[in-house]
Amino acid sequence: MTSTRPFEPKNGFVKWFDRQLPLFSVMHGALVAYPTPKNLNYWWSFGSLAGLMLGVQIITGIILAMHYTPHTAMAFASVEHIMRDVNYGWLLRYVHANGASFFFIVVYIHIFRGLYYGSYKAPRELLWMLGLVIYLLMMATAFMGYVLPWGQMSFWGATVITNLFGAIPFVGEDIRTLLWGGFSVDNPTLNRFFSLHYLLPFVIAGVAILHIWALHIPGSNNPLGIDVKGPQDQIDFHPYHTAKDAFMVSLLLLIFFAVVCFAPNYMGHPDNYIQADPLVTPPHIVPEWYYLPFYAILRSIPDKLMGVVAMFAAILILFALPWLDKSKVRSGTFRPIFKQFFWVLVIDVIALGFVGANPPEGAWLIIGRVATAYYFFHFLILLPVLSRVEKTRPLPESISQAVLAKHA
Amino acid sequence: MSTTDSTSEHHGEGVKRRDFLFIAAGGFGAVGAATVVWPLVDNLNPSADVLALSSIEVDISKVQVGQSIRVKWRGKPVFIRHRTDEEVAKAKAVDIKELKDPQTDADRTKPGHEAWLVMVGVCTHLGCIPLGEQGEFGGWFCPCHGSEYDTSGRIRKGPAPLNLEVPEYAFLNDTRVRIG
Amino acid sequence: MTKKNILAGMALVVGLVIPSLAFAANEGEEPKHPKQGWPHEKIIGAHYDRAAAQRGFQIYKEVCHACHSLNLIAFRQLEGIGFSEPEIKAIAASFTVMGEPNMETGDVEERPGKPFDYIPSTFANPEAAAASNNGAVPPDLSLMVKAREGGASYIYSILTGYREPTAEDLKHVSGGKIPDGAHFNPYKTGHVIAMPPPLAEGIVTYTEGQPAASVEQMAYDVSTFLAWAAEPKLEQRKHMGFLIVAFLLITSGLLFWSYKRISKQVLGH
Repeated sequence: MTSTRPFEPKNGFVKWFDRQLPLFSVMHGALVAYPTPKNLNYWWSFGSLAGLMLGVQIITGIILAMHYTPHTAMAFASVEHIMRDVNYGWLLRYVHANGASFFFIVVYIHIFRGLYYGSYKAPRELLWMLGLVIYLLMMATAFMGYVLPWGQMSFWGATVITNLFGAIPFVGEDIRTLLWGGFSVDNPTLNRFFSLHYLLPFVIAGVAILHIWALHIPGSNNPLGIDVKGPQDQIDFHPYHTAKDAFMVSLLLLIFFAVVCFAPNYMGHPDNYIQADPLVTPPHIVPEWYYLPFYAILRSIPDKLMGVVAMFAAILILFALPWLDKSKVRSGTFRPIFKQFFWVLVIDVIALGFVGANPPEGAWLIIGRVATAYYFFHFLILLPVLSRVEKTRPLPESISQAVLAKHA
Repeated sequence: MSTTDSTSEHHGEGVKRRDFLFIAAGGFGAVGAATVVWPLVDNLNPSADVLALSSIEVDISKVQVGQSIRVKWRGKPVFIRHRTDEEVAKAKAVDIKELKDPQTDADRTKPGHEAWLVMVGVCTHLGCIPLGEQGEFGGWFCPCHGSEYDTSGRIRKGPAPLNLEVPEYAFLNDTRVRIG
Repeated sequence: MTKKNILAGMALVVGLVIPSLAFAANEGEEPKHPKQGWPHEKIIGAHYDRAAAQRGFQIYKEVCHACHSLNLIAFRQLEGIGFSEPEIKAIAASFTVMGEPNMETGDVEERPGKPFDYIPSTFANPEAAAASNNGAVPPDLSLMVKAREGGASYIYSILTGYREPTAEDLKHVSGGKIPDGAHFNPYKTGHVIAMPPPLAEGIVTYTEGQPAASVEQMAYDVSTFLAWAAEPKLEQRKHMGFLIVAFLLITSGLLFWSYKRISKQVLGH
């Protein structure tokens, strides 16, 4: 994508610096002159919002690490020390804890936006897959972060998840011992999780840069899903999108701080305010809400190994999505049947979330099995078949024409 | 002819020598790299102080029939249960062909101490601690995902794949047990 | 478009109906908490009832402390419920804590507490606590309000919920009878609690000018105190939240207006 506005700095220092290292040109190209389709809607702001939440998490996380102690005897008390004695410690910790949830909310909206508008299709397969890598890294980071306060849910969540690796044939036991650094989740585990929890966000930031790079080569997809035909279809990122994203940032922060200040424990679990006790299992172990659909898939299969395989397959299947859905039409707007099934998938994933939050018995078990079956059916059978047989609606000539028609 | 032969042979030898050199260099490089990687991985395995706590002795003289105690071993609970005659009879009556992880009750106890059941109290599904004297089979019930064990600690129902693990243990005398 | 809306509506319905069904299923388990609407649970003007919290501390000290620790609370923090500096010094001095090693002999001696000390536990370690309480360690109370569904209302319900079980009550108890040394309490999961009823009329004497120390009053007071102990920064947090939300509402309005104006300039609509 060539910029519509070349970078012509007036400042002497910027000129001198940019000649030797074109940092300013690159930033200009990415944040000012990046040409975007004219018709992006509010759902396209969630990429920027995800970037914001990553920043919030890294900054609050670095500060929290200055006050936290990664030792089983002291971790729980050190978190309460942050909550009670460190200046604004309660604010930083609640922002960090809820920030993880909001990061996931934003990313889930971002992913479902991509699913609806076909943003995973050529020429953006790699962009999509890099996004999934970020998502996987986020899951790992959030999981290890949840262990750090060393509450009952931290400990038992860690126990359940690390035991998943024990399901691997032959080497499972050894891998589990290697992960634990002992014979159960204990101090060595807490220590290494802290180390990795500190490291991974920077890896996420690195992959996010690749993700943005891979975005800027084909350019953004758009709600019509058709290619940009020329400059008449486009608009520079600044000032239009900077203004739009700034509004969305403010709106996100409004909701975020309302939760942080008035219901900071709403998305947490009361049991995590009880210090970890390796000899007492809480009556009902639930992971954080953002894992619940996958947890439901794990539990809906009665065989341990197959359950673990299904859970990982549910995520990995998304990597193959660009090749499972071969429809030439990207946007769900022009795919009448796909569109309906998209919402069925949304309901399915929400239902799996509720199944994951409830004990695996009675109706929950049945709903869980049906929903799991649908999830795989949707991606493995429905989308490949649909992309062959579906009669799509006619696409508009160009973006600018569609925009004009809409505002005529 | 002979000259040509000898040159080509000479040439061939040179090729072989060079191949050997490259393979040897590559091989040494690979061994070196593996040697560097191993400490980077193995340090994550249990350290010496963790391994040192791997064996304990327990006094069981106070555990009455129908009672159990829990002791901590390697960071995990071990259940020591003094089973009632009824429980032992029930455990022995099971046809092992219908078990998911076939083991007789005798496989899981020590001869002469059949009333005693010593096992790691960690569900073989995902590591929760099962609750005693609960569930359909009168044994243990895991509150996390609903696995049920019988009075011999064998898996009977639910997602767990294996029986509750019997650790390596020995009766030092009638009232003392060494675990590990 | 309409289909999309219908399906989105269905998603919403599923989202709202499933959890309410789940809650409905739970309702048979534990009765509703009788005491609701704590001043600290308000959104605007949330505050801890200082006088109640101070009386609650008295109850903690004279009743609960015999078994339950409060490890996370230092005497200095009692400032948060309105105790003055001399009062805090006096309260601290009324407890005995393990001091620092003696400079000459190296012996560790007991001394009266100081404001920077944490409230000492009655028991030296959890094993000692278990030994004195039929094998069950009385849990630390510092975070109890946040560690239970229902918060302060839960504490209040437990403290006032003891009664003789009826035949109907016993149907909900596993095994159909209350084990020896345990008690019936409908608010506790499983309806059986190891703790004997801790509050009784006349167990503490409130100072002149305070309300009569009925069981309900004492339960209210100690629940308020424990709510504060679990979340001492709550007042600050909610007050700040009000300012942040107001500020961001205005900012969002201004940014939306700016965005619309820019949109008009560069897109023409």
